[in-house]
Amino acid sequence: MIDLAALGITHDADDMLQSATLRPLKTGAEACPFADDQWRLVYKLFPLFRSGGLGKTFEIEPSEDGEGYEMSTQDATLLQTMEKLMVLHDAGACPTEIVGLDYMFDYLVVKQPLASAYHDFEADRQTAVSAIQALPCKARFKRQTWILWEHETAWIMSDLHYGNIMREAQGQPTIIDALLAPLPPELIKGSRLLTEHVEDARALRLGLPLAGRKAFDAVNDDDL
Amino acid sequence: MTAAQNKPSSTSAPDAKLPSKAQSSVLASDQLALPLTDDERKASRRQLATLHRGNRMRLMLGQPLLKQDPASGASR
Repeated sequence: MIDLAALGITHDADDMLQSATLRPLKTGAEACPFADDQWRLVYKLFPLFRSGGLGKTFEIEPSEDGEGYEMSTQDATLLQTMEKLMVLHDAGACPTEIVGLDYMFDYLVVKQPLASAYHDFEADRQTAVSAIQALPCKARFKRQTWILWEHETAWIMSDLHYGNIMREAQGQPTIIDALLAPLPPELIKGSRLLTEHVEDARALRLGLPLAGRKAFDAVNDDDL
Repeated sequence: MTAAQNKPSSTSAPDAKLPSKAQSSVLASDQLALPLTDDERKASRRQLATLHRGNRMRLMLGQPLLKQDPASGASR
């Protein structure tokens, strides 16, 4: 259990977080971050909401027109958010330590190394995505998505916008946050593209060769 | 494109570069989860403050809430 006051974080008259010793950073959709410049760390406080939500995830459904998939953001549970943080950490994204819950049960507190701005967004994002062995998803999601295999599960990742791609202290591009959801098995089975992406993501994670899938791989040139 | 959408919503650095207009039009839809406004966060905090600490723990862990004593606010 964490005493926020011992971290140097208190609430102001409006009950909003403040700190006299840590530097507040821009609040994101999920967390309120504070930088500890002395130790080059960021504490992220994920607030509990009255709905019981803590953090965000998303749900995927086939589009009504049958031409792709719809994604809708939803409140995540504490366990979903902790699992997301662990999956991203284990996959090779920005190192993230789950510090604990504040003793008033208002926040999940996590810690990351202080990162700096990206240099070239597209190039840095691609490098950061490669670092976690995620593959671009070609299925139609109306936004960019990636698939990765971690914790023996296929995950679909999105929300890699400007604020979520940064550089580690050593200069390597990294993902500091993303939205992540397990890819439902029934969706995987219902789509050749998703099935292939998951197979490839799993092979990539396990260091196995990727399946060759050229349309005419098994056909002798003389027979064409 | 609103000013708010054009700002990086970094959760670990305030100095992330702002995207160019051309880039932002391409990538605006990449941001799926948008931050709450200050008013929304305050409202959420006010609602949560009505719950006893024990019930906040239950809410956080997805367990049913206990009835609270209207006088003291303590869970029974």
